[in-house]
Parts: sequence; C-alpha cells; structure tokens
Amino acid sequence: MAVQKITNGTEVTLKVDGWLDTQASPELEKAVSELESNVESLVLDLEKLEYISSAGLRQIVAAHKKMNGKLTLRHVQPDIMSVLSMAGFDKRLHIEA
Amino acid sequence: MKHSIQKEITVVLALELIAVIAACALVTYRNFYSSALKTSRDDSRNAAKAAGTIISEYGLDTVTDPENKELYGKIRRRLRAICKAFELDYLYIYTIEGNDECHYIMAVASKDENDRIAAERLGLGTVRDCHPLHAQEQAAIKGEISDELLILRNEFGGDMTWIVPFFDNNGKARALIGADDALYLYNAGITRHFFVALIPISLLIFIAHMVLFFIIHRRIVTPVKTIANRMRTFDPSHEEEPLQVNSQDEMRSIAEAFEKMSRDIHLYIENIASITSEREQSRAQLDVARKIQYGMVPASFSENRNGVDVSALMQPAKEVGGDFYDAFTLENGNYCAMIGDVSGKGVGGALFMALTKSILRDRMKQIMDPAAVLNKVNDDLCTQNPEGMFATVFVLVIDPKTGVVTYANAGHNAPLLISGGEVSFLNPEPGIALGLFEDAGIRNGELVLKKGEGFLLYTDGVTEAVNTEKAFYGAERLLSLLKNNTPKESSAAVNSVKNSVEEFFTGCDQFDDITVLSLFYRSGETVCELKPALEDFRIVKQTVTEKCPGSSGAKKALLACEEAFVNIVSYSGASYIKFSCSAGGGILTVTLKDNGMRFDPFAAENTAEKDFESFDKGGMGISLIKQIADKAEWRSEEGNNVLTLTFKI
Repeated sequence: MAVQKITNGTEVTLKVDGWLDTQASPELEKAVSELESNVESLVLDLEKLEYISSAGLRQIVAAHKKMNGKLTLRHVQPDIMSVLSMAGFDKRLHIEA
Repeated sequence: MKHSIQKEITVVLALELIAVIAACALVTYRNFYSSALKTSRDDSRNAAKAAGTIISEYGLDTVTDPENKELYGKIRRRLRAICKAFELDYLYIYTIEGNDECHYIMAVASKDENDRIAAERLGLGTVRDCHPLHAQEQAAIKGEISDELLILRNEFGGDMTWIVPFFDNNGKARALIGADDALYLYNAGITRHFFVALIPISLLIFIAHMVLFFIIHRRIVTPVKTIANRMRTFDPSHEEEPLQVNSQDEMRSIAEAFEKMSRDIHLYIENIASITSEREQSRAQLDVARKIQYGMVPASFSENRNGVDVSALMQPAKEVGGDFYDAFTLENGNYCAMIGDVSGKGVGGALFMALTKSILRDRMKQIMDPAAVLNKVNDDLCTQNPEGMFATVFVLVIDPKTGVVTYANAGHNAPLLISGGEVSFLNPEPGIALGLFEDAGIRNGELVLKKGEGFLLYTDGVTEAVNTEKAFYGAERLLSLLKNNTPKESSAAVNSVKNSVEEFFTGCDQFDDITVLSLFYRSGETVCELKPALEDFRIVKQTVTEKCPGSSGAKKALLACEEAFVNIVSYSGASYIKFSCSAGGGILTVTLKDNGMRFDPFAAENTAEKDFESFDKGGMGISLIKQIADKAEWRSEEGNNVLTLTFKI
C-alpha cells in the first residue's frame, strides 16, 4: 500500500493505493495523525485502492472523527463501494464517485 | 606430625651424650682410683718404714722404757715430722699380745688436735682390743706385708690404714707400724683428679654432639622442612620459584626431583587446559554444524498447499547425526517427499548427509522420477565417496490431482501406509543403500492414495530407540501405535510418534536422531498450519487467490477470511491456526481451526448492531463476514474453534 499526500491550502488529499488491510492500515493511521493542525478538510482519493478490510474502515472512521466530519471519499471503485455499503458507511460519509 | 626427626635425634644424641660421659667417668674413676690407692699405699708404707728406721736407731726396748721420757718425747717429735711430711693422718707403733690385744707404744698425728688426743689415748702402754685382727696385722705379725685394704672408721676419723712389720736388729718382727692416710684427703684427691680429667672430655664429647646435631639440623631437617612446606603449598596453577635448598647432597637431589615433578605437573595442567579449551571450541563448532544441518531440512510446510498435507519432525540426538528429510513441489505440479539416514555420525556423517540431500533435491527437481533419481544419485555418490559412506533413502512423488504415488527405496526402513482405515507396512523393493555399489538397479513402485490416506516415513532412530530396559522401540510398537489411534492428518501422526518414542526412552539418552515425516493426500484441498501472526495471512491470501483465478468474488472472500483470521490472531490466544481451503463447482470453502479461547463469532452478543461512531474501536469484522460469506458456520471440535466459510465464486 502507498499513501501520497497532496496539500492545497487548507485541504489535504491523501491518495491511498493498493491493499488497505490489517497490516497496511497503520500507515494510513500515521498519515492522518501527522496532518497539520491548520488542515480544515481531508479528501481520501481511493481511485487505486484495490482492497479494504475492517482495519482500513476503522482508520476512515477515525479520520472522520478527527476532521469533525470534514472528510470526503473520492473516486471510490465498485468493489470498495460494496464493502463501504456493507459497513453502512455510505449513509454517514460524504462519498464522491 | 606424630614424630619429629629433630626431636628424635635430639633425644638420641642427649642419651648418647649421657651414656658416653658416664662411660668416660667410669673408666676415668677406675683409673684414678687404682693409681691413688697405689700412691697412698706406697707413701704410707714408706712413712711407716721411715718411722721403723728411727725406732731402730734407738732400739725398741729403749723407746718402751717408761723411765726414758725425754727420749720418748724426742722420738715422738721425729715421728710426727715424718707423719706431717707424708701427709698422713696418724702414724703409730704397737705390738699385739695374745691373740687380739693391741699394746700401743707410740702414736702421732699431723694435726695438733689429733696429736694431743693420740698422745693421751694411745700413749705408751695403752691396750686396746683389736679383735679380730685384720689380714694386714696377721701378715705383719709374721713379718710380711699384705695388700688387703683396711679402712678404719673410729673416734679418730676415717682412715685408710697401711700396716708394716717392725723388725729388730736381728730381723725379727717385733712390732707393727700403722700409717693412716686420711680418707677425705684421699677421696678429695680422686675427685679432683677425676673432674680435672672428665670435664674437658665431656666438653669435647658435648661439642662433638652439638656439631653433629647442627649438621643434621642444617643438612637434613631444614631441607626436609623446606621441601615439605613447598609440597604442602604446591599450587599447580602457578609457576614456582626454585626451591632454596643450600646443599649439594641427597637433599638437593630430592629438591631437584620435586622441582622437576612440579614443572611436569604444571606443564600437564597447561596441556590439559589447552586440550579442554580446544575441546570446547570443537564442541561449539559441532553445535554450529548441527544447527546448519537442521537448518537444511524444512522447518515447516505451511507453503505446501498442493493437495497434500505434510508434517515432519527431526529430534536431534546429542551428536551431529545423519538423518534428513525434504519435501517440495516439483515443476510438473507433483509433490515430492523423502527421508534418509546416512551411515555414521559426527562431522563426517553430517557432511555426507548435506551432500546426499543436496544432490537428491537437485536431481529430483530435474528428473522428477524417484527410481531414476536414486540410481543417478547412487552413481554420483559412488564416484565421490572415498570414505565408503552410504545413505538409505526413501523417496515418493505424489500427483495431487490423482493421488497416484510413485516411490522408490534405497535400503531404507519400510514406511507405514495409512490407507482404507488400515495401517500397514508398505512393502517396497528393499533396494540398496546409496554410495555402496554402482548400478543399484532401484525400481519404482506405485500405488494410489484416496483422499485422507497417507504415509508415515521414519528413520531407525524411531525403531531403534532404547529404553531403560535396553529394549528397542521396534517396528511392531510403531505399527500398533498407529493402528490403535489411526491419525487423519500429518501433524497428528508425527506428534503421536514423537510422544510415544519420547515416553518410551524417558530416563535414557537419545542415541540417534528421531526423524518422522508424514504425508496425507487431500485432493483439491489445501491444508496447512499457520502461526497466529498477521504475516501468515499472506498464505491464505495467496491460496485463495490461486483457487479462484479471475473471480471477482475472490477479494470479498479474502476480506471475510482476513476478518476471521485477524480476530483469531488478536483475541484467541491460539498457538496455531490450521487453514484448509478447497475450491470446486463454483464454491470456495475455507476452514480456520484454532486452539484458542472458545469463541462463537455468530452468537447473538457478538453480532449486535454497533454505532458508526464507535466503529473506529472495531466490531465490523464479524458483520462483514456474515454479509460476505454465503454460509458461515462455527463449531467447537475437541477444544478447537472451527470456522467454516463458504463462498460462491
């Protein structure tokens, strides 16, 4: 898995690629925790995310809490989308196709 | 020390000193005694004779005339002068009348007091009883002189008396003249002379003894003490100073002998120390050799997921042994397993084992036919085997698609076959151990395993394990062990044999490596034992991906598997996870079996709906499994949690 950070003013985009499984999730956790305090909104670009497990989902919830809801999931692929739906995330998160 | 030479020598020398001095004293005393006696006798007799001469001058009758007092006094003065001159005590003249009456004529003494008493009591005409007459008196009466000693002790003191006869002019013995030599003077003379002679002699003897004692002390006692001290404090771990023995005699040679012995001991100890350290070093190297050797056999078969279930165990003996096993997938998809035992132990055995195992693996991967490989390896070993070592090997190859097993034996113990619910010894052609003769002529055997059937391969470390009663474990015991409790999977077979053999030889040393390999045929099923660690999930991932090529459902199935796997790893405390996976007819079945805490993930309390806000604390996993899996079941089996997930793919 790889996490790439793009900063645009007070908005930060994290491109999360590959397999976000139990072993990889601490990397995302680290990236989120290292965000500067002036960041107002966070975008997770999941265009190249192939796989997500509950450990990855937990990090998304944690990021959602940290940003006080200012979290957007972008470019979510169908496979990932179905997992997010199973967990009920589609109802609570701002998801862009 | 009970006795001391020094004390003994001192006592002996002292006793000898006393004895020698006593002997000298005795001899000296005797000499002086006899010479003093002779002097006293001669002087006294001469005095008596001189007195006789004076009496003769006047004639005895004149002297005894009571009227002639003046002359009597004159003669008396003259006699007294003689008495003094000869240092006599008394000088007297008397006759013996009858048999024993002494009639004194005249008596004088040297000392005035004595002389006065003599004049009063032994004056002319004094008669005294002198019975019995002494031998000297008897002789003198006859005109003779006797040497018989006469000691008189009376009111006049103690004297040694010498008596001579007085002859008248006609030569007739008329009277007796007695001369008394004072005993105390005589004794004092002897004593004086005795000591004058004895003291220097004694002193000389004493000095001689002291010198002897000193020599003994210095030349014997002191060196012996020095050597004894050195022996007592001898410390073989230290180089010693040379012994300080100042002599060139036997003591020096004892000291030198001891020094040589100390040096030798010192040298031996150094040698022993260096030998010991060399031995430690070579033991350490042997340990390394053994680790390398055991590192050469596969430790786990978690990656062998090709329709076979394999487990193996090598329990090393103390020495570096020569057992080996190996199991791997061949290029054609078949699976190869082998077990072997090389002759000899130690480094030689280990090297030969390493060589044999490497060649076997290489050849097997190239040729893939057991008999052909054994024959080829035999030829290889025959040309590279100067020590004449050999190896017994059993090789089998199984086709996981069909269960067809091809095997070949090179002199190894017949394996056990677990087939059709029965356990029996496979009866392969015995073949011949590798490395002995060219043209081994080993041939393949063949059989077909059904699903759930398998083998147990072992080395003679199992059957020849010895218990406290010197009995062998034996093939029959092994057979009945598996018959009584027929294993259904490889790890159970291996563990059962291991425990049974270990129990058998409890209390004895393990002489040989105990090596067991078991293989079960699973058909399309993959079975492997995983460690409860996240990194082992990659095996599940790889297996599931392989079983569902090109399926879009594979990732979701994998997601469910991961959730289940992570739960076991994180919460159960299990020491292993047995993973099996089979795919066919559009259905993928995954079973995870763990020995952790009993936990039913699908029980009501574990599937309660959770709030989105608490999802970061976990709790989505089981929900995901239930949603993804087409069938998710949990059961408890012999204390294990068994989770079976079925997916349509």
